[in-house]
Amino acid sequence: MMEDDMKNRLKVLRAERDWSQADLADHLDVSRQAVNAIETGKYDPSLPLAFKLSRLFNMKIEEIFDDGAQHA
Amino acid sequence: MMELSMPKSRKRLSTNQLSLVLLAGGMTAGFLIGALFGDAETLPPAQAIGIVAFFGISVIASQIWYMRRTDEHDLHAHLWSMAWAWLSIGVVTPSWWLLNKAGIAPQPDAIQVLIASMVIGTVAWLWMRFR
Repeated sequence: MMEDDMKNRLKVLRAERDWSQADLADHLDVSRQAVNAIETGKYDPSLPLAFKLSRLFNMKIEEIFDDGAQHA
Repeated sequence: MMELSMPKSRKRLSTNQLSLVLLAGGMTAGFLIGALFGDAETLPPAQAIGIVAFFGISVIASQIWYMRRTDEHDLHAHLWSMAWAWLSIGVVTPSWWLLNKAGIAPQPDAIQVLIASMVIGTVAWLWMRFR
């Protein structure tokens, strides 16, 4: 529902750290299903959660998420 | 205004545990109400008002408790499931009423509409949460 073309690098970033979805979910204090839904683009995180991811991976939000707009 | 988006500091149970607590609480309440009052022909008004007040407050309080503690993905699924449940009531009830007026359907049954809406809401929640 209300899905768009938002892409993200969460799966790659997670793999680089050898984290499972459950590990990342623990870091973010959300369910594993939430991490899976974000990774697969079925759910777009809120700004607070996006900032939490940004701080966790020490990257800018736009380095993690790509809405495709800047390439248009 | 009630904060629903990122209430992490108050979270104690996991999201899945919260869902199970809400489900178990709802089922227990439904079972108790059915077991205690399902066969009653009539209820004293004061008793009925007390039960209704307790039921209403419990439902609202449990929803607030749940929504303030669950994660945002589950909250999203929960709110959409309630929207679908409400939409189903909004479609089924007047449709059934009109069909009854035309003599091609029995008298509308609020309990059947409620159960149908709960089934639709549950399916919507499961779909959005676990697909």
